[in-house]
Amino acid sequence: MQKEKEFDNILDECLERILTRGETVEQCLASYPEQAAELEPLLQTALSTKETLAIKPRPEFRDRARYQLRAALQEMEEKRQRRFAFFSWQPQWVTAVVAVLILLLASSGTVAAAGNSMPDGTLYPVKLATEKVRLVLTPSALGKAELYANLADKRVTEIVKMADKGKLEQMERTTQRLNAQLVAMVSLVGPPEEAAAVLTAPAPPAATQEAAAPPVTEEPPEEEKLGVVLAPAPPSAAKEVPAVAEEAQEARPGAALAPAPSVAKEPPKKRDEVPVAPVQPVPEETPAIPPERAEPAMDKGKVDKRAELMVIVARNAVKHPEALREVLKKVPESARPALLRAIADSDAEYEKILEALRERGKD
Amino acid sequence: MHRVTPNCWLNPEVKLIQFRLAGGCQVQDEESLVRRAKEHDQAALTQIYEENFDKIYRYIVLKIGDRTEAEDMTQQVFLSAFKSISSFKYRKGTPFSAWLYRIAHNQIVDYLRKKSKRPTVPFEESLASNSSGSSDPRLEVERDLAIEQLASATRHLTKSQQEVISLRFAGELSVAQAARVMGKSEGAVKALQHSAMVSLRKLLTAG
Repeated sequence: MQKEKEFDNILDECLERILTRGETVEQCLASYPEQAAELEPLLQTALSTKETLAIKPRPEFRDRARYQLRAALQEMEEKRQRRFAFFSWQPQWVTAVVAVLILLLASSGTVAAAGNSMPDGTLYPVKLATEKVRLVLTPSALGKAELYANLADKRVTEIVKMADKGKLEQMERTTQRLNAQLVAMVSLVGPPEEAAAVLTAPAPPAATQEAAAPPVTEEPPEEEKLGVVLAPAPPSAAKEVPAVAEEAQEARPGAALAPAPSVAKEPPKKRDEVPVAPVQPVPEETPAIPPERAEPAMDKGKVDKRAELMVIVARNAVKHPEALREVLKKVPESARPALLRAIADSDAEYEKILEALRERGKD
Repeated sequence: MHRVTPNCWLNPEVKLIQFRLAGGCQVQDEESLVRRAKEHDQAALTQIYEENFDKIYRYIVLKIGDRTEAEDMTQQVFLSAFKSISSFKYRKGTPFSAWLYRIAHNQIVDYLRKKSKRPTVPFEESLASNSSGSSDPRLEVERDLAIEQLASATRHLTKSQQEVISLRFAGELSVAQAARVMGKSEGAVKALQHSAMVSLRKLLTAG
């Protein structure tokens, strides 16, 4: 019995050496001269089996299969979006009615209690839904951006809490949410036409989806998924280039952050075309309220709002990566990649937001 | 400018846009990859597809001995898997491919059951349909004959022996991984591997 076990182990070791490490049968037999007679025919059989199975699907089939799979995935994604995208297909007035209803609900204890809930809590989806409603009801780009800044603050608090509790899955999802909100913020404070498009866009499908199913992350750049990544290449265009590389080629920064085509069609709202009053560039570290000029009252209000936003963003830009780095010390190795990514993302996104705010100040 | 490397997740300096441009990093561990795939992350789904396609294909070829049919079945395995990936529950230590092999196995059982009810196609005809598009049709036919012979020999093994041979040689799984897929101990898988090789040797030399 023992001898047989020993032979099983020797055979397995030799198979590993021949099949995986590319050693020859002779090399293996030399290591086990006593078992060579018994080993040799088995190893020869293994080798010929390996050679017979050294086959691959035909390249033209691979191309076709890849194309079909992409098309199927796109269809699945569209179905999923349709199922959840309540706000995107309902008429605008329905969105407003639902928003009002949720607002009314806000007076109830549930919504109030949800305000402090954490990602592992049962009321967390309510909290996210409430946030969405607040975003829908905030008309201006700067107002929305400010709200996103506050939400980012909440997300960081949640990440810290989840890390403390050792709930890594929730922590990782919250970091994704944080990232999505920062990206949305960049879009809002970016060039006026982009911000206008974001404002006129219906709430992203993820909004309802998130409320209904907490694991799904909020992803404002949905168009990246649908328009860029998922677009199936025609069979003739499907080359041997791996799909990931194709995505990389297509995912230009503009494509990643640009609003969906349907959104872009809508003209920007008048109020958003009003240029923000010119101000001096504000240093990132010490965001100060810019010097006033002779401006209409409305523009002055916007300048104040922008300066206010800069203060919040500059504070967050320091505070958030710091808080996340603190968390990094506590979490196990498996959770580090997600956190490191969140730190890198928040650094990058805050930098972009501040730069966009400065640029808008120059207009 | 930072270059996005396979382990760029570990580099906090890598910017988000660059990350996106590169189509995302290679996912560090399988659990994280699967989690992303469950959220319909296209890069994760693509990675799963590219990493497993050939292995699943070989696994099916070995079981049914028909390369053309195996191509379509492989495609079906991935379509079924991705359609129901949301319901997949990750178990630490068990490779994700175990699930794919299970789906493939079910499809094979289904295929063989249906095939047994259909009139059989002469082997020469099936070879003709298999060996299309090759630069050397003679070599392709020889290869198909070898595959058919191997598949036919494996069918004479016990179910467990067949599974070990398929997972080890076609799926390129280690003994530990095959043991997880089959729900057996590593020792049992090694013993099955031994007995399967002995039987296969006999069957192939006799045939």
